[in-house]
Amino acid sequence: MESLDCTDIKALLSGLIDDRVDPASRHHAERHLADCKSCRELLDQAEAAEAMVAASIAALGDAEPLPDQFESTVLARTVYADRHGAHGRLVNWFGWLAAAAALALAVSIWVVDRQTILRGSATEFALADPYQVEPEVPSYTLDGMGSLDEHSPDSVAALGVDTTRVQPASYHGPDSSSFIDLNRLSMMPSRSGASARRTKARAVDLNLAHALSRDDSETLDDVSRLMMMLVQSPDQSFVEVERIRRIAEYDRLLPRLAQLRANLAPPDRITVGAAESVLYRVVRGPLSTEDVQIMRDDVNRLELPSQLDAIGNRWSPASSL
Amino acid sequence: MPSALSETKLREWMQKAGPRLISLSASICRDRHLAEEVVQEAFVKLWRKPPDAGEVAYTSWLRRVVTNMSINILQRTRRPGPLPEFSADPAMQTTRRPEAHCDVDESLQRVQRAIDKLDEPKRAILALRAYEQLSYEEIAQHLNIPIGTVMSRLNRARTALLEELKQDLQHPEDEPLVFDIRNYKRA
Repeated sequence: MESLDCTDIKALLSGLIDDRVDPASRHHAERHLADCKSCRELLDQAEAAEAMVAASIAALGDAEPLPDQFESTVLARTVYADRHGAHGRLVNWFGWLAAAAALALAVSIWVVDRQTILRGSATEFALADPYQVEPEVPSYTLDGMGSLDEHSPDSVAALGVDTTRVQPASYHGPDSSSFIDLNRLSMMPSRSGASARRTKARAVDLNLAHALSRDDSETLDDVSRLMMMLVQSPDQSFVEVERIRRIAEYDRLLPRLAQLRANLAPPDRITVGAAESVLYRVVRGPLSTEDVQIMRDDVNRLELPSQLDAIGNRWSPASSL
Repeated sequence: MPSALSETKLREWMQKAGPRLISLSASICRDRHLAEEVVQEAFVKLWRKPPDAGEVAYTSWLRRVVTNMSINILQRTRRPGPLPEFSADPAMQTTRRPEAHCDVDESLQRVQRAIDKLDEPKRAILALRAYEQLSYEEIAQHLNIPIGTVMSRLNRARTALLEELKQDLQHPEDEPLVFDIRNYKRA
């Protein structure tokens, strides 16, 4: 190569800017640039444009913090999704195992006198005549007066708790008639087994309840776990509470609970409604440390995790044979 | 299958690399919301299948994933267009001054308009060289092309940019635009 012309300079433009030309080519290029004003200007403009490109991209906000919801969106698709996926697989596995065990037990029951097993345990109830046995239901009192599970559906509604209404999925703004005032609820002293008795009212109540779908079982399990997380969260820390909120939102637990509640017998609706009230409060926010402590106390006082688990066991597909 | 990353590490990397990756993606796909989605997807991929070389490779890996996704996503969705914050708002344009040196903001806008007119591969290679300051070898690896192709593509991109800048001049008889390189900070 003896000399370069303007066309050659344009072809070598990037190489000259980035110092990627061989020494001989650079020598000839510099000789041409010394004599050619337009090529010098072209090179200057190209170098300046390079800096402007960098500045314009930087001006798009590389010094700004991440947008709102960026992290939570990624975490919902990664960390929390994996957590629930593993949990769901575990629930499915236990579900199948429970179904197999229940089938084996049902086969063996046929050779046993049914009357001898009519007691108050949840699983045995499910295998026996539902009209004959009163199930182990959580017994809450309202304002300390009487047991809620003795109320008919109409009177429960008259207490200011509409347990049959399905909540809209959006949950914008509280609807006080549909949420339980947890301050009015308390546990009855626990009973040591229920006695078998036949009541038409109970039969009507029980007819309202049917086997839960697998989704409903998972909903109960998920909410029970979130109640446990709330109870076990460290004092003065909102990290776990925020995690509960994100899981509840990502999994749409509130609308799922509302749908589930409508399908349950009235006593069970109270339990689910109480859990729904706690979860709604977490999702809606804002919360102070005192609010979180009050919710922990309510969850403990009403034994919500174990009561939710009991509902799931009572009405699981495996148990309602 | 559990991820090789922890939640803490994932958050750390999002904070550390996220904003710059969003800028890089936005410079290619010209849509900030799309850029945020692209970068979110990149972090999800990082969680699902991080590079075997470990954390030392995360920066380069994320940049490569974001670059390629940004190029491909527009080619799939056909969503070109300028970024709203750099749209050619007549109210923001000033008349040409006779001085040789231009106002920085006006120059930035002019460059933005010129970049908007390039296709995604040209925008991507300009961003990798000018903004990320990658070597030719690194660019070749990111875009999965030979080094010789890097030089020729870069040349075409720069030439096209200069051509668009020239076209953007509203009064070609005026003194040609001269950028004072000392006014602009290199990223």
